[in-house]
Amino acid sequence: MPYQKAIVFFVFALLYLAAKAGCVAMAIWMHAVAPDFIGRALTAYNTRAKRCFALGVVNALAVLFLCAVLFGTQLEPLGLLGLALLLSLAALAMVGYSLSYHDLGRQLRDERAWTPARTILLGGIAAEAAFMAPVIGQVFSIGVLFRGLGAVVSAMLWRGK
Amino acid sequence: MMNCETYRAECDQQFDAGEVVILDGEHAAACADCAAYGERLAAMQEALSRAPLETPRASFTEVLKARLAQERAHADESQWWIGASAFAACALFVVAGWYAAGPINPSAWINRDLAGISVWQYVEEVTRDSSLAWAKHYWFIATEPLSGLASPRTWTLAVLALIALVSVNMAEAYRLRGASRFSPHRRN
Repeated sequence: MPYQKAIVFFVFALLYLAAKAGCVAMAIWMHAVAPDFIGRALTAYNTRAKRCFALGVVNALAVLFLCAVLFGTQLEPLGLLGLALLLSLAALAMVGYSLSYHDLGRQLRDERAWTPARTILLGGIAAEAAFMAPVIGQVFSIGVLFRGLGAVVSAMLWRGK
Repeated sequence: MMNCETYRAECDQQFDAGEVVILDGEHAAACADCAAYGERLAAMQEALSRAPLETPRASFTEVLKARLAQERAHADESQWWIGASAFAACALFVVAGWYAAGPINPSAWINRDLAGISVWQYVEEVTRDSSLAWAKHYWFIATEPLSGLASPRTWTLAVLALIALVSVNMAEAYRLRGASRFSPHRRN
């Protein structure tokens, strides 16, 4: 049995690392396909931190509450609408989460001539390692999540024209 | 012979150009005030030339670059990736659902003799059985604890939350556009 438990643990650890690697890869991909959008979100993230955090908290709590009410109806169409809302919120939150990779990578890079992909990759590794720290890492992670979500919402609301 | 006004204007011009202020001349010898003015400018210029240049922090450079990038025109910004991402997500969702509704072993799809039965009929047949029932079962288990939320009071709160959500986002959009309109860097 211990042998089987070790295998199960190993598989789950690999899945966890794969998910984290996927987050970093998604951050690099988003920067490649939508540099203007990510640029606007990063500007909001860096220059309006408190406002972005407040915007993220309001959006996340309101949407989660609406999802809970829609799920609570036990009606399939409304439940699916709630599911779509929840998935949209999760997608936006993940994009916002990846902004911390840019931010930390930029601070690590300093004046060195790193490519954007390398900056995001090293920033992502450092950020994910920091998020794994007990208690402090989780608190930091939640703060970054709301701030990033607010920055993404802000970038969606204003296209810079 | 130049007067005080022209002498000081010449000193100022040389100071602004970063040149060494010339103190000699007939007017400086005759006017003590203008000579002192020229000496002050020369001392100030020497002090400025000795002072080290302050280099901005890396974060300042990044913020400045980000703000400059923000000011670029986004008129030709391509939005194709939003539609492509949504389509890919929907396609993935449909394929995953289709696959989950079918047998676990993918080879069963290949080896199955479909003679006399279309693929859609087969999918319908498979979907009708346990897979959909299991999905509904898990959906019920996940949402059943929330069924108590369905009350008039909660719906009122939900409507208020929706109004608050839209209001906050619209206010933020209005503020951002207003800030952009009065930005000194705004393009005309």
